[in-house]
Amino acid sequence: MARLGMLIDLRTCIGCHACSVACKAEFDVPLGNFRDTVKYVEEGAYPKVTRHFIPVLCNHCEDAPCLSACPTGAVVRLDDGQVTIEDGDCNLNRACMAACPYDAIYVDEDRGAAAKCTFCDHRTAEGRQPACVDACPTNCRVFGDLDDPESEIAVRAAANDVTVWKESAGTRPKVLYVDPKNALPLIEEQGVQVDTTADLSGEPA
Amino acid sequence: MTVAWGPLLAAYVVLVGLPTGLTLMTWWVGRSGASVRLERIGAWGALVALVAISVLLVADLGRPERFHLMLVRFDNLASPISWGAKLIALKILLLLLVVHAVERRRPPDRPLPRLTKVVAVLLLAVSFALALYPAALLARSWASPLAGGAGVLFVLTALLMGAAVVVLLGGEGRTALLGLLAASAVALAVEALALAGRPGDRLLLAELTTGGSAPLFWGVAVGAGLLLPAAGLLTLPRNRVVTALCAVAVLAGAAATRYLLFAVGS
Amino acid sequence: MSTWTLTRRDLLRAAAVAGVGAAGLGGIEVVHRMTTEPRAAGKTVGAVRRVASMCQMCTTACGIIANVKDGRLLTIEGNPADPNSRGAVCAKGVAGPSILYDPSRLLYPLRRVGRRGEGRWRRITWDEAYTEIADRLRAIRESGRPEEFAFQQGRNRSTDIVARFLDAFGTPSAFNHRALCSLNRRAAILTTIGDSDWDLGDYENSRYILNFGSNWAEAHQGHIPVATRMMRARERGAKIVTFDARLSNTAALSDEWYAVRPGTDGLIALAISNVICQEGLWDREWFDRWTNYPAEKYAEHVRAYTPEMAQAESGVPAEAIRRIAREFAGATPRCTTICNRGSAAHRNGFHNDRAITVLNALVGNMGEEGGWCWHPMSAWDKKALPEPGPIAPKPTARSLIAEAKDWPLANAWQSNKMRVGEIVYLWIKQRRQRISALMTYNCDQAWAWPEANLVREVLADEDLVPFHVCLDVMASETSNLADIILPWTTYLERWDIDSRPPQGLVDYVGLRQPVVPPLGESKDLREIFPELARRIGGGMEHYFPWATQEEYFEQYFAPVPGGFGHMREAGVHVDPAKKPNYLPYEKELTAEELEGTRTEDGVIHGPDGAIGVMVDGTARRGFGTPSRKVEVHSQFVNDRGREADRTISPLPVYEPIPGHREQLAQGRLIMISFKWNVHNAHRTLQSKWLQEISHTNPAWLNPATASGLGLAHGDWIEVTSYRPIDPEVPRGDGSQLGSLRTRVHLTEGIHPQVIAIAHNAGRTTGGPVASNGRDRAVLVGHEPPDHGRVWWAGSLSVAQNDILPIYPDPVSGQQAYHDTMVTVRRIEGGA
Ligand code: SF4
Ligand code: SF4
Ligand code: SF4
Repeated sequence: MARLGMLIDLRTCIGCHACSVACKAEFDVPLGNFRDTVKYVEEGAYPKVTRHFIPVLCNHCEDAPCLSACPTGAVVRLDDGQVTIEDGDCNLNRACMAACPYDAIYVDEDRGAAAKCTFCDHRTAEGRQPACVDACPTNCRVFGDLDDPESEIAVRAAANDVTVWKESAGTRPKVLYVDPKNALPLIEEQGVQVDTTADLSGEPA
Repeated sequence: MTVAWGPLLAAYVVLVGLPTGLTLMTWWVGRSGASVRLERIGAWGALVALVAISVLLVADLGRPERFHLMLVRFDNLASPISWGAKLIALKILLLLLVVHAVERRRPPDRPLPRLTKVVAVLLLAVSFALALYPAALLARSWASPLAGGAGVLFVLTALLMGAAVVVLLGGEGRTALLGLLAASAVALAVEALALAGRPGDRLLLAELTTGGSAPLFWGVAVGAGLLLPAAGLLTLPRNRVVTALCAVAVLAGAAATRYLLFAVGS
Repeated sequence: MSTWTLTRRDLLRAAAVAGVGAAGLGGIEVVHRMTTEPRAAGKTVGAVRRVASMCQMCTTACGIIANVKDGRLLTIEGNPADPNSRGAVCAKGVAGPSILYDPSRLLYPLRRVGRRGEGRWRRITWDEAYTEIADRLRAIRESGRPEEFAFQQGRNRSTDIVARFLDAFGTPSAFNHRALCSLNRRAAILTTIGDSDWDLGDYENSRYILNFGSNWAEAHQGHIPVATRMMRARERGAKIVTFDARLSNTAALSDEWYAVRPGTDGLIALAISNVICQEGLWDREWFDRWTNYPAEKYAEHVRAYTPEMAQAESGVPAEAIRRIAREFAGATPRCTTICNRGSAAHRNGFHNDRAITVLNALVGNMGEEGGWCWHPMSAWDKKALPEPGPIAPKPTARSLIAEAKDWPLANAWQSNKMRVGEIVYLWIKQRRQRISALMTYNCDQAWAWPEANLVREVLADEDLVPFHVCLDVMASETSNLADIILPWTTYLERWDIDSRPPQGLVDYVGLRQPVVPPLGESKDLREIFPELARRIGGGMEHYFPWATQEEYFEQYFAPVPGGFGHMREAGVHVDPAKKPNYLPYEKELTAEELEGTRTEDGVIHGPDGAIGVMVDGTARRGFGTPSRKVEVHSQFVNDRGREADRTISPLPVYEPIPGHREQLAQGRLIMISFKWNVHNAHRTLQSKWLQEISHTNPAWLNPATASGLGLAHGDWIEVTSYRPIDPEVPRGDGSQLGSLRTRVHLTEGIHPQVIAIAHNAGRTTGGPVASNGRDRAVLVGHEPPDHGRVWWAGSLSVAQNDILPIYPDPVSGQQAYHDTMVTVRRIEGGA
């Protein structure tokens, strides 16, 4: 039994969205729903200003609020620690969604169930990397067994200062970030789902 | 952040106080000499309300045809909804039993007083649990930050709703109502102080007292729900119309309080 | 005490009710368990066929592997065997399936009914289409004026077959988009080193990278191969400094970003050069040995370009310029520049890129590991892999538009015809060259060209363009103005031999192959052209002797070990014996090479031109310039200029953009455009996955500028553009050109004198995904599209190009994209 996790090195994330599109393609995630996306945040004042790229996904928390909220037992923890949702056991009461501090779960109209990142357990079962990790051109996403000291993820987690998103939520995430520029606090109020109401309308008022 | 629960769940959180309060208050008022009429209406009222609320809950599901999963699955006892659904089913069953008993025309042969007592106590226990339940449910939700710590308020507002209905039905609920109003005022104050003491929650308090929710809070929850009926009941204790109006105001106030606990901060 | 009591029977009844209830629920549960499927896994589980091919979402052409199951493309990933992309692809690459299966794709040939542009179409057969096109083209060819058939290409990765058809036809009227892209950079590099028109800095091994306005994290022609190498360099502690008017993602990824006023990059490079010379940080020995201009004299030349002057013009602090000069020179030879449209797409872009290129010579990093490198081949080794014969001779007919003689450097290099794409439709309108038939290929000039409204006007005019065939994957503003639309295959359904300038400095060759059969009745040029040639006849057909495309590529790839079969499997081939192109100029010429040569002024001439240069008594390969050295001083460009009555300084200089200073003083802003990383040309807007990420383009404004104009975030504005005040530019009279209406996006990440509008928006056709729901048409032969899930329907999406003046750099013809002056005015509610 492994303790699967992901490490995202924000120093080399170029914000390209290959990860999030790969995830869309892998699961045909419906438009408007997101298992993974990349947040862009600007910080600073002209001319000292920068933009951060922060890929976000389900944290597969050790202390997973979605899991304890689900009344039907549809949210389960797999052997290697992945938190997944059994479509068939979901009656869409959305308790998991209300419980997840990361807004990582959405109602999938096509599946008729709540859905979220699975850590690509169907791929890892075949010895492959998750789709988003495979797709990342800069290899800033590392996936593996946090308990195996030889694994790249454990080595990189040990060699760097790592942090997690919304640590105060107390969920003990297994998605770790290398974040020397301290970008994560800037998205403290956000979740994985994209705010689809934020666009400026093109219709003249 | 996505808002997972909408108007149906809000209606549920508000309305579920009614059957709970009704059961508890009919018992309380009837402790020293119950009236058949009150018990009958209390049992029927709670049953109808509970069934209606169950319909709401099922309708709110994205897959209503799978509602049964909440009843038959025991995998996750950490889940408040899992408990809640089962408690609601149990209470419906118990109420059916009570309704059956109060509707009996002839006196029963071979009565079982001890069983009767057990059922009555069970009903009270389940009702009390259901009174606390919204707090337990919403405590798991980041979307209703106020609700998690508000168990006392949920219980008190449920009791207020029950007492108001009892009063409306002509029951002797005036003293209870006054006591509950006082208790609620204290509980509200305590809650507000607690919120003011936590930096993160101060914003919520502000939203409630000076922000967009202020009219509902001051006008309905506090004004109509606490001050007005307290004044009415104290100054014109004998006036039936005033008493009835006070009861209606209490209902509205309690509903508003419950709604605010659900909605503020989401 | 309650008034009711329970009996034993009640208990039994209750138990029965509970029992029935439980049994019922249990029954439902059993049925439920039996009928629900286990959680659906992702798509790529189980046996999938993996097909190696090449991406063409942008022009970088990364190697890809397509995962195909039961004839359906599931997903796309990178091909690790590709030496350029090394297994990496970007979001566009991964989004391939959404383009292939785009429900708004064109699948059948269409013939217009009614007026051109009216939008009414009739489905026709390929046979009908072929007949009509071939009849038209045959008549043109037989008239003896083959140049009246014009071919307008956008991104063309099938250069072999296109050139073959046009040459066989005999038309020189091949219009490309190089002038709208990379002309100045290519011209500057060709002028300076001759070997190549493309610099390939050895970024991965570099320690200090000076970026002049290139956005390699989002849009560069070497996009992912460059970006990944930059990140490796960063991991090893390299420093990246970016000059850009806007906080691009690249700027955000840099250690330092300086917001510069557009058009001043060259001056910054010259000021850095000045500091390097003044402080003796140069590699003087290298400069004197390998360039054609003495270091002392160059120092003299750049002395006028002080950091203070650069600060006044560009806004970059003089102190920063000094420090950067020291750091850059201190890192040599492991330092390099990179630049692209940010520096080149200006009225003064040629000199900007010249100054930047020469900056490298000054520190002697040219060709060094970690330095400023290049490769003589911009594609595969065409000697080792020659095009299968018979090869058609080059046309003898002449095209005034293609020759574009007003611009001396546009076609100054034999091997590198750049043309001046932005003037094509203006000149057609002015009837400078008659066009009898136009074929548009993978291009949406009616949307993407400067003064796109002029393009639309010309295309709508049946006098100016009597016959217009448009070949594309989806409906576009341009196809709307065609007579016949041919449904093109996507890059996932067709064949190509392809490769890009090798970022690893070793050339390679790749294969693009169909990963699934073409959808509907779509066809590729490789099928269309041979058929048209046969139908046009007159000898054209002889140049297309192969029976199938496979046969052609069988022959093409025969020289590769393992041949076509190997290519189909691996997708790419690299000759393991080849070494990276480091220090190619140092190579000593062998006695054999020197045989029969003569030396004149140190330059060694063979029978086919100069082959080397004597350096300190040794015969070396040198550079591909006339002097066989780095031409800091280019007599060649000066001469070309004189022939066309233009003064082109032989040395890199800074020429301020005419009229900018005065208009900025009046409070006008400079309008620039940019691309988001998930988009490329019109075709990426077809992808639901990419559009979902980026689909709107409000105008970027600095809050300080906005408050000066009384503007807040989200306000509606009218942006009015003006033609250049520039006698050397067609219609350069400074007059008002046009206006657009958009809304304000406030950001600290932009120069206060600049307004930036993203290019990837503003389409009104191509289906709901591409047009933000505006296109409600139902294509002939299609189901009505599903508008429901396009959650960004109605979001702001504005076409910028209508108000972009046609503005060719008088020297080269490069479109000066980033020099447009505009005024901005608040309007109530956008109406
Ligand atoms: S692990 Fe798989 S499901 Fe999760 S974000 Fe990555 S691609 Fe999507
Ligand atoms: S694919 Fe990698 S580099 Fe690109 S946005 Fe995702 S994590 Fe960042
Ligand atoms: S960089 Fe261009 S070629 Fe490479 S994957 Fe992305 S779109 Fe395709």
